[in-house]
Amino acid sequence: MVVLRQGLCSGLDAELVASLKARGVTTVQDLVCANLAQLAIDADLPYKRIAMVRRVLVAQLGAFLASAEMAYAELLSSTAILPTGCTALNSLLDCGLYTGELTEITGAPGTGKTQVCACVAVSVACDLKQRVFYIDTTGSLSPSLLLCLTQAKLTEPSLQASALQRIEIVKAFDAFSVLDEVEKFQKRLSEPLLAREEEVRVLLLDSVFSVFSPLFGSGHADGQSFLMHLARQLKFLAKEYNLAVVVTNGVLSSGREALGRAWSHVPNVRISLSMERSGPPNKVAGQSMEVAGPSDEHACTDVEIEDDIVRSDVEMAEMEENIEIDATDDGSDRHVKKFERIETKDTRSESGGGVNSVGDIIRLGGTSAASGGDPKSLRYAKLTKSTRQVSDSVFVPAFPCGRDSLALMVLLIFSITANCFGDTWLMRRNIECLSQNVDSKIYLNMAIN
Amino acid sequence: MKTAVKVCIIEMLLNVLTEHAHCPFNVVSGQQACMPGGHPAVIPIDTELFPKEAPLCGDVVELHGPEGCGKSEMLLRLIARCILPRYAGGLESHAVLLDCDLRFDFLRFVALLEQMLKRQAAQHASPPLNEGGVGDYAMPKEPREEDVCTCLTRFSIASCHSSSQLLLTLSALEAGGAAAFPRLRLLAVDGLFAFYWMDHAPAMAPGASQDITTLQRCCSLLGRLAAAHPVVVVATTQSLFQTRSSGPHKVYLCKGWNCLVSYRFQFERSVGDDRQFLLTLFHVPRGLLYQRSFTITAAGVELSSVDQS
Repeated sequence: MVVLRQGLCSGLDAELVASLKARGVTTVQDLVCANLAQLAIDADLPYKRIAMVRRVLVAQLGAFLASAEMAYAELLSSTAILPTGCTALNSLLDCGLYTGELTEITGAPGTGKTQVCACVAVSVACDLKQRVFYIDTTGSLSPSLLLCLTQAKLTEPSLQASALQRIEIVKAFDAFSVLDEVEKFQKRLSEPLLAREEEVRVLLLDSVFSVFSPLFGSGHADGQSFLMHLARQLKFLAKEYNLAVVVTNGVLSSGREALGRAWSHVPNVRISLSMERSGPPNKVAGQSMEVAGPSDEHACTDVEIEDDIVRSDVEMAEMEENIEIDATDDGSDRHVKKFERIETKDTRSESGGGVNSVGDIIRLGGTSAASGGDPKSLRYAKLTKSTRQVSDSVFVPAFPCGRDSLALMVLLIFSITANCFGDTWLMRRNIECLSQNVDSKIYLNMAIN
Repeated sequence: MKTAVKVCIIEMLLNVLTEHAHCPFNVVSGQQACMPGGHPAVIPIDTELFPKEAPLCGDVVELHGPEGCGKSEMLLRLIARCILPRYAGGLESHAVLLDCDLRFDFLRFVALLEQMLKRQAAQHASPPLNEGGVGDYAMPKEPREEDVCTCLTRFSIASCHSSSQLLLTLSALEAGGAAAFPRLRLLAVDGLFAFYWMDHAPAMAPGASQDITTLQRCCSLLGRLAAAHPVVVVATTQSLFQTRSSGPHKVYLCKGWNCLVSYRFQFERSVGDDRQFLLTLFHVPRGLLYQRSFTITAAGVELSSVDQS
């Protein structure tokens, strides 16, 4: 709703605004839909003047109808395809991420969404030498992971340093700061290129689910509209500044992507990651909850997401060092398990299943990419990765030792007691949010609150 | 004061005269003209999709369904059929698309155009009437880039970022559309309710209240456009809420829109088969017309044979 005010367009002065307001025409929409002849007679104003003001406002604020030929030529010259750093993923996405599109990566916790994002960031920074803007809402992106991935691609420390400098990471832990960061980023992009040599090519938001799902509760409508505002901003950024926007999302217990139907219409491409169970289920605390089994050596991945990352034994040794560091740092062995997965993947022989060992291709719009695709089709893919099975009812990561288990026990007791008195659905949401966070400090904070 | 009134009266007379002058003088071909006297003529956009003698001038077609069911793909097919040259089976007329959810895939659209040109040019082996190649009567095997560019000159796109922008663009079309696009036959809106949640709580504007009227005004403007010009209005609408009953359910988002629609296509996924989609066509007076399945290939939508339910 655009309110009519003085100076909005050239012929609109305070006197005209006041006389229109007296007749009930306060916004541009009212003016456009009003009967101009009648209005001119009622307000005792020259018809030509009102008609001219209306024409100017429509031309100024309406969308410009461009000829498709020119739009297509412009699109061809400005669209880029960014490789994701993983050959299997590239072939699924028809050579990579397209700029001007919003790609969504969905999956249950622990399926590797942050890994894929980190992979994309490093690939763009190292191989393409373009800048990356990463909004981290869960705190699960660790710089050591990025360093590891960079070291796998580049050998010289100076090149590694310059590649890592191209990745800008911003932490935002609630929905308002996320929107704030996106708007600040847009302001920066709209400034003229002064000293910037490299353009930002990718915007990664990990994850939108963790910050917006708490807003969907009793105030359902407001949360939904706020999410749509963010979605519109992201899509506008993608189209206007030729970025590839990548967003991670969670899944509901039914397997559908989270955040509702309105959000499901927003992304252009959706990649759905899922896990296949590889270990025996554990019984925990009398509840029949399937908790992640131990990471076993014979865990096989159907799609080699990390096949490009790890190459040599030297890197393996470095990664083992990193494993030690991570284990002592925060007690969480989630990173440990991830690196172990990479390690076991590399040591065992290449799986016998063919080159394109993707589980299934779900197509949502556009053509089937089964045969390797036509480069201009829309496609969705389901990549299966077998590490652990997470239960449907409560998302709980593997029980590690240390401070995290204490925090987890406190939280479980808290949620069980609050269950009797409060909203079970809301509790589930909180637990789902928590399971996305690795940092134990966040666990403790949420338990206290 | 008196001169102002005189000017107003003259303007009103001029408006009235030009309004009636729109329809009869836009003769494109015998089939497509609106006969003077207001008798509606058929715009044969897609003979496979629509029943016989449909859609008529001024019809409003709705493509409704959840995401990922082929609505935008069907819209691309309709636009392609409108802008393709006559030898390729198209109407060779102008089409306008208002992209509200910013999901229009241009590369896919051009690929679709090329496929349709290639396929239908092979079928309709007749010499080209409009291409102007001197002595060139042989059909090219691969569609030339000039052919695709010629098709694209008959297509206009605008991206709308808010419901007020959509309203202003529609009013610009209403005011000057007939002059700017004399052979306009198809007005397509992709994602008509894309701004529903943004209007519901405009969180960004301080002090702004819910804006539910803009969408209703857009719908009424679309109705006026459909009535005044010899166009078919096609809009894709998302299903934002869970439907409780199947069948010709009412779209509860905007009553004004509900009254306008003549043909409603309901899209859904086929149960048990990922690659098939189901399409149900409702005509507002007559009710359910048919139900059929379709798949999406590189060449676009492949409809199966009609299965009357």
